[in-house]
Amino acid sequence: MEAWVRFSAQSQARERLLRAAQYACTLTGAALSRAGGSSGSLSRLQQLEAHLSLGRKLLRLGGSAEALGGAQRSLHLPDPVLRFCLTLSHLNRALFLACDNVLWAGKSGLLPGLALEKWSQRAFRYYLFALVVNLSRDAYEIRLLLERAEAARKRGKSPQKSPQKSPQPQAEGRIQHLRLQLQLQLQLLLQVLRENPPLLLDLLRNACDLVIPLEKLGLCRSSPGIVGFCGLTSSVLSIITILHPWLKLKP
Amino acid sequence: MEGFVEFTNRCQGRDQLFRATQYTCMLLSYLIENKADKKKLVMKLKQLESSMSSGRKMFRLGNVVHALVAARRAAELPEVVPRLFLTGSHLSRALYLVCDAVLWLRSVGLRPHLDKPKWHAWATKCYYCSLLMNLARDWYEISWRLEQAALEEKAKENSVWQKHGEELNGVKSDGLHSFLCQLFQILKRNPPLLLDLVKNLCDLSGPLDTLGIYKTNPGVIGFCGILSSLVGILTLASPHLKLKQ
Repeated sequence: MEAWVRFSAQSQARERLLRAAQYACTLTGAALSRAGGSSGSLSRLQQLEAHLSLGRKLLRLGGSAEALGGAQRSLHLPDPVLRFCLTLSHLNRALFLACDNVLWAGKSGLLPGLALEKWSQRAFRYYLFALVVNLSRDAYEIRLLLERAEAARKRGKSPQKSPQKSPQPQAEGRIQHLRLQLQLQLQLLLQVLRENPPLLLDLLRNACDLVIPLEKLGLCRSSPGIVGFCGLTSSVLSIITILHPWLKLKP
Repeated sequence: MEGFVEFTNRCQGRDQLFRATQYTCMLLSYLIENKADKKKLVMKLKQLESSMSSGRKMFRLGNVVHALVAARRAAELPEVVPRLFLTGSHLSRALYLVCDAVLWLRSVGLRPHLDKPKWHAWATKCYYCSLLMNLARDWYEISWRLEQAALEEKAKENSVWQKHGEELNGVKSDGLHSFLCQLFQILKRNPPLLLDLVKNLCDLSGPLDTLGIYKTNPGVIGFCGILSSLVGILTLASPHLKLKQ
């Protein structure tokens, strides 16, 4: 119980819980509509989802300040690529949260004449940019770790090379060589990700989150079930990183 | 900005800001309600107030555990009177939060057939009970300090009496005046106690009106709500001003 008190004292933790609940509603709604559920329970789920979404928007009021603070801090990072990626990501997130705040004002009736669809698209666009930049940062980190692992592997390898002079024709040999290379790279990638759980979690989270704006902006056709599942997964991964701060990718 | 971020990162900080906003809307809409050209503004204020209220209900889900943990901690206090009142207060608050969660279920449409007035009345009664116990504890804190001050006064008087004999015959001030003076002194010397007392008294206005014990108007409730939220924000921002439990 004390653990719950400590966990839920942070408003980010509560926001993630509400997000998980919201996407669980989406997923349940999708499952129910496929299983032929009653329209009453479907509309109740949709209503709950709308309430949770509006509540989360309320909780995010003023979140731009935090994102701008993050952008300011990331300007001092030594690595230029990380500096660029993280600053851009925080700025996009600040803009997304600003649009989100405007949407809250519109949905709660404070700005009744607001073009909700336009602002919603705007918010999702900034969210998408932020996710793409986050994924680029993940790719950069993975590349650095792969290079390091490759170098370590080459150091550990025996000095004599073993050229495989196969009697097979050249083309087939090249394809097999490529396949071997690919397998090796994949193995190395899996090894790197296994040894770096924070990076793996961040990558999974960003990849899952990517589905949401892609679907909302109409760039990628998927179903509410997939959106719900991806949203729920990324929320659970976020909650895990809050519970175990060592799993958060630094910086 | 860092301070703002740090403050709002805690759920309680955000909740107090929303609470202050909610009661400000209540006060403002009461003040400008009867003006003909302000109808739109009044409607927006009422909508903002209801948004804040329903949002805060959602964020409070799960605070039952907080209240139960606080009750368990209060049950381990050394002194009997604060132990009794604080444990009772936290348990009442836990019950209030349960009723509040049920009301939230109704408001989001998950249980539309719940008897809202009944659950609202229960929630208000539990909250009222919790406030009364908090005030009882405040009164206990004040009374033992008053006793201590009276004993000190007597000790001083006795030593002065021995020196000046009968000169101090007519210096017995009237009871109420000296009582109020001593009360004022005690509260001045104990800001956490003063703030807790003010907060509990302000919070009392809402349930007193809802339960019909002492009807006021939304303006008074709004003003008291703002005051108590400001005290809440102050005690969160400066933890040394929070009365130790």
